[in-house]
Amino acid sequence: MKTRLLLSLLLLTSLIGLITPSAVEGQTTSLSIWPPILEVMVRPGKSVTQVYRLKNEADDTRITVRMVPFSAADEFGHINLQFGGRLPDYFSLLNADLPSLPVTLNLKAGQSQELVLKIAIPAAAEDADYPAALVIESKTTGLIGGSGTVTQATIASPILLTVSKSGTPNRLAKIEEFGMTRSHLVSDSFDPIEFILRIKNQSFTRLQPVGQIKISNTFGRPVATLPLQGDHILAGTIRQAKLEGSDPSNLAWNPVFPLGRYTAEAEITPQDTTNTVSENIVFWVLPYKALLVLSLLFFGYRGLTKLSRQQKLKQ
Amino acid sequence: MIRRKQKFLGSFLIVSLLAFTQPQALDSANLTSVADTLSTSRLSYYGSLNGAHTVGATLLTVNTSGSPSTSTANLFSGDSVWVGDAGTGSTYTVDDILDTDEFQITAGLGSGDVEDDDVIIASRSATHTVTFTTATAIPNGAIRILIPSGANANNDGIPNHDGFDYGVDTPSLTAPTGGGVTSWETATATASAGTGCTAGNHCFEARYNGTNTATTALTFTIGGANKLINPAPGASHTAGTADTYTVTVQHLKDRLQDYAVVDSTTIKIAVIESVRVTATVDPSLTFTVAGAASGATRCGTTTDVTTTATAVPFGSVSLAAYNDASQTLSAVTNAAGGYAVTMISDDQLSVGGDHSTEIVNTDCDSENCTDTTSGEWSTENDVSGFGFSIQNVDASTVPFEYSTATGNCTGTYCARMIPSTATASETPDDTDTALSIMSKTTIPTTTEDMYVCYRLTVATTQTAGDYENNITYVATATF
Repeated sequence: MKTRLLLSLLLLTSLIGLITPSAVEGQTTSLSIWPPILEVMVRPGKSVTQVYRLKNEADDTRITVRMVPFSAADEFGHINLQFGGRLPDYFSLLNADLPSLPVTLNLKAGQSQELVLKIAIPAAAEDADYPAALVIESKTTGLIGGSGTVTQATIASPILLTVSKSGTPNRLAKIEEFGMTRSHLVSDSFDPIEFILRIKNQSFTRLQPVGQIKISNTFGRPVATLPLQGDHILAGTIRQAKLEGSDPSNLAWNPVFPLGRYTAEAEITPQDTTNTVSENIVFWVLPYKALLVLSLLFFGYRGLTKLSRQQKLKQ
Repeated sequence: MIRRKQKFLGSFLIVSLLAFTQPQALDSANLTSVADTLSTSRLSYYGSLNGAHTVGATLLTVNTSGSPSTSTANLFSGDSVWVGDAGTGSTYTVDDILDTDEFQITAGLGSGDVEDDDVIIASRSATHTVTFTTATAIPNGAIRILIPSGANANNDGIPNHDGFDYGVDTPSLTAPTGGGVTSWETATATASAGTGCTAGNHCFEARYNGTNTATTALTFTIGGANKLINPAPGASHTAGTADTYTVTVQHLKDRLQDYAVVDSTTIKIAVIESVRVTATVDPSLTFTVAGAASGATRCGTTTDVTTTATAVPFGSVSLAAYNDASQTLSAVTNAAGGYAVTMISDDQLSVGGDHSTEIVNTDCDSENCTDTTSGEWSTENDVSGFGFSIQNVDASTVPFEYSTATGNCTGTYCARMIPSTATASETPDDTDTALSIMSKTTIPTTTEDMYVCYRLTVATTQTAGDYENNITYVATATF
């Protein structure tokens, strides 16, 4: 009798344990996306298809996929997603097993999912940029009691979409600012010489500037050419140029003991055009810090010598 | 009579035998160990534009027939190509090969270089290092190398499809040295059909004084500053199959004997397209948010809360005390422009997320921090506030760090408000943009990591309730 009771209790406890498992929360959210960025130029009336691959590199999760417009967040190529912003109805998924965007789906740990994105441009679409991003949001769970913060990992792949009837839109750039990062035009011979070059896209579509800064010495002889990185500039925005491959962004010249008057010419040509623009600045490089130290030493020495003489005379 | 006949036959036999056993020396022989090593055996490129292109175009389409080169095979990124016609032309740099008949250049085509059938030329010049071993001792003789030229226009600096072009400038020469002779004279080069050089070959000659050692190894170098130009593909060329040309090495007699050929050897040399090796590495962006167990040392403090990837559950908080938690953010990409991770919240902490009864964002010890300005927050814990700090592990760029003593920070716990999309709820700034909290503008060499440290203080007078908000981290590639 006792044995039966004990077995019954054990069975009941086991069943309760099975039907009410403790909540397990993912310790890590890790999402990958291919490709991380897409550049597309499409003619009105045409369409393109791009396959995206998502991978869940961590615990099981649930994601939502949507298209979100973006704008340039700054002058360095960062994007500002405009959640709630409106996009033209150009984007759709071709996956037969998925509904239209936005779409929510489960991704198990290690699972990959392909998304076939179609971008179809109506025949009447105007030449313009339509910057948008394919955004993947991980699902969050609300807090169960107590105070705290819910965090959400989101990954976004920007699409630089340009619609152009000709395929070669007229691209115009303007040098918005070209100068030295320090306000004065005299640099020290022992400091790197840093420029600032801000390029404005004055056309209706994005452009990539090709160009360089050419530096000539007092005698007009070229002494350096600083190649510029051809970063994208969205229509109507400004981007600060940087040297090819530099990180963080900079535009510095590091010559060995420069001296005298120099001329720097920034020359920019939007890719696929011959619309070259240029601007010159003149700057001086002198070892003024060293000269200042030497002057102080010289005058200090003279002062001390004079003082010493006066003291001797008094004695 | 018989004896006389026998005597005659015997004498004839003896003479014949003597003739066989002591033959006369021959006048010619083959030079041995002959080789012509080209510094590059890559064919030159000679194609043409397919159709009229627009001025400024960077995408070039090539004809697939009618020119020596009928595809983009043998063109490579970084190659210099000359595009134009008899009137005008310019040099461009190949940016990328798109497919078998399209390639991209780094700068747009100029106005004179866009017509249909304008030629596209990429010359490949090579130094010929000709090595050989002589077979005969010849006094005051010469060595001559014959290299096949094209039939027409074979010294204009433009590749030919049927031989080596002499170039516009005379090829640089280095005459052999040694070999037992008294001295070598300055070597000479003559283009095909020039004086003393028959058409069909370019001639290169090195004369010497004295007599060479009969068998001596010599090297004659054709090329240096100026080189011969390799041929473009031949008329019946098949991509991947070499075109062969015959080079002749001759050992000549002296001037008084009109430099007659004594020894001569021919060899074959081959020129072929280089193989374009391509491999595609998929670009990707990976972003990770990871929780952390309580008791970890983050931002100079010990955390009180165990977090997950999706929640920072402070639970029942300690009043008038710091409640600390953290998460780890990691990002990596192989996109050329690098990546950026931004942070934004939906609002301040509010009861049940109602955006009404709130724990305000911290303004730090001296009421001087915002979401864009850091401030020290290491003493004031009896006023309600929620903020964050950063401990950088190996991220390239972070906006601030808990330990950096600058501005309003002394470096104990430098903090900021969390930027929020909510309006009019957060004094002094209530129209925030997402904050870039880690970034890199080139491809990272490894996965970059940082800790986000959350800090919450609750005054003893704070309205009771469960306060919460949402923070969104967005990782994107930089364009």
